Parts: sequence; structure tokens; C-alpha cells
Amino acid sequence: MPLRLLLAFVFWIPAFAADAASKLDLKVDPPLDKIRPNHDEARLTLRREGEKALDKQVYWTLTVDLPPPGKIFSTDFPWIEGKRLLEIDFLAQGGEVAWSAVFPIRGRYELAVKSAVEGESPVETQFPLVIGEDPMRLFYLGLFLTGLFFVGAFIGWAIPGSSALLGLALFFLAGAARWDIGPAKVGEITAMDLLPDPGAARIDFSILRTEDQKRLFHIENITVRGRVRWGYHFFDGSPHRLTAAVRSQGPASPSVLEKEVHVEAREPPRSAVFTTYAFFLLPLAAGWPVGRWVRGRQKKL
Amino acid sequence: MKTRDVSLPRAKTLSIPSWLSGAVSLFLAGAVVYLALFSAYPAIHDTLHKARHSLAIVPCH
Repeated sequence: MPLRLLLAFVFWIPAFAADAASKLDLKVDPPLDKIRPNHDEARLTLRREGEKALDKQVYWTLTVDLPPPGKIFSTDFPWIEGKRLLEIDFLAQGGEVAWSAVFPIRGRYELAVKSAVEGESPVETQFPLVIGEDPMRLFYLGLFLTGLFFVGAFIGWAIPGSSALLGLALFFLAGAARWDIGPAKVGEITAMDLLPDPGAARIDFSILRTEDQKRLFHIENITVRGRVRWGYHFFDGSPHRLTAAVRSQGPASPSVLEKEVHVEAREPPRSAVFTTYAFFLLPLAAGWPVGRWVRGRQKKL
Repeated sequence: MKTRDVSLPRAKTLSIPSWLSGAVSLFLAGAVVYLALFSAYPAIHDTLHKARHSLAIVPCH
């Protein structure tokens, strides 16, 4: 029993709306600290408490804002930092709604929820969702920096040189980049509309990144009342496939609509590239005098 | 049989200063890092796409 209570406490994040009478709970599975950005698909379930919601259509408005840019380093998707990932409003039967999503980058997301039931005042809540960096990525980064240090040390050991020339080399290297920015979709939220047939009752919708068959977003059982409109920020400049499974009122199997979307990539911002590149040059430059020092000691011996 | 000494012109050797070779080597190492992780050239970008994303702080798109 205590274990159940603990699990319930960990997995159900209570809403802390300004309104003390907030009635929304969010469940995230797996737990937030186990989710790796651009890798794990998380299942998010919103539950509206109150008996009135159980047998009614509930109108939901969800927005997910991406984490703001980091102070020093960017993420691997710098154009989307601080922007909106998702905005969707829909009707769903009952007091619970669930969707699946991939969190593209590390940082603190803001999920804003508005839930309204006929005859009740709407409930608005914000949930901060903090996604940490993948530990394996940090391990690879450390490994790479160590490797750069040893490359620099080897150059210093094998080919003694001058530190003044190193600075000159780095200066020219940093300016050698090409910074063409072409027409792009990454960095902008894409508005999407679906106009189902009059007989349509419910829709399941998903977004698949085709290059690695990774499902980025999925939501089920949206009640159809005319046009369905939502916005999604395609964060990866690669082909995607949108799938909408439209169910009618009767027992007929759902009709599936698919659409291929090619999302144009965009070269990363110059400042993000420069910062990271300069950071990578540091261990290379630091290893070089160490290599020279080792070489000097070997000669003396 | 008479032998005669023939003096051939000495070949000139080009000596590269050690500081220059060191600097060039570092420059090349830095250039490789740039090309591998930051170049927008599709062949390089696509080949090393996963490696870029696996380093956490390399901006890719």
C-alpha cells in the first residue's frame, strides 16, 4: 500500500493552477526523469476530476511550449528553442484524454491545459515538464572532448609548434564557415486542418518521422464536429508522414488518410555553431602544449 | 683506364619550420572537426547525422 501511494505521488503530477479548486491531474509515463529527448515516446494522460465530466463531451485546449535557449550551448535543434511545439483544441468524450509525444530537446517545457464542460466553469492549468539530457549523450560528449585533447597532445608531441600560430589558425578556421540559410519550415509551427466527411465521429491522429520510423505525436478518439485544426512544430528537417484514422458512428472500419510532409531543414544559427565549435577547439588547443611538454621531458631523459 | 671526378650540383632541401608544421597540423585537425560536425554539405551531414545528435550540444537543424 505505501508503495502504491508513493507511485501515485510520483507519476501523477498535481496541477498547481492559481485557482485552488483546480481539478486536473497529469500522468506521464515513463516518468519525466526517465525520458530521453528525441528518443523516448512519452504517454501523457490528463484527467479531469468530477462526475459531471464522465458522461459529457469535454472541450480541451492544449499547448506545449518548448524550453527556452540555453545560456551557453544550444541543443541539437536550436531553431525550435523557446517556440511552440503543439497547439490543439478538440472535443473528447469523458473526463480523460491521452496522447503520446516525443520531446525533441532537453529543458523545461510548459504544458498549458484548458478544459471546459458544459455547465461548469473552465479549468486552466499549467504543467512544467522538465526533460533532462540523455546521459549517454553526455558520456559521448565527454569521450569526444577527451579524444580532442589527446589529438592536440599528439600534435604537440609529434610536431612542436608555436602557440601564436595556433591562435591564428583558430581565427581563420572559425571564419571559414558557410552560412547560407535557405527557405525553411523548421523554426515555424505548421498549421494543419482536417476536414472530415459529415459521417465522421472520431479521429486518431499521428505524426511519424519516416527516416527512423519514430512516432513523434499520437492522439486518439478526438470527437469530430466539423473541421479539426491543430498546429505542430516539425523540429527535424526530414520527411514525415501524417496519418488520420477517421471512424464513423457505425461499426465500419476506420478510413485512413495519409499525407507525406517534407520538412525543410535549416542551417543552425551562426552563434550556436560558433559557440560549440570554439568549445571543441579548447581541448584540442589545451592538449598541444601538454604534448610539447612531454616531448621536452623525453629529450632531457 | 682513367677515372675522372665529376662534381654534381647538390640538391637543395626545403626545410619547413617546426612551428609552421605544428600550426598547420592543428589547423587541419580543427578543419576536420568543423567539416565533420558543422558542415552543411549533404554527404557529410547525412553520414554523420547520428554522431552530431549524439553529442548533445552540436546544433544540427
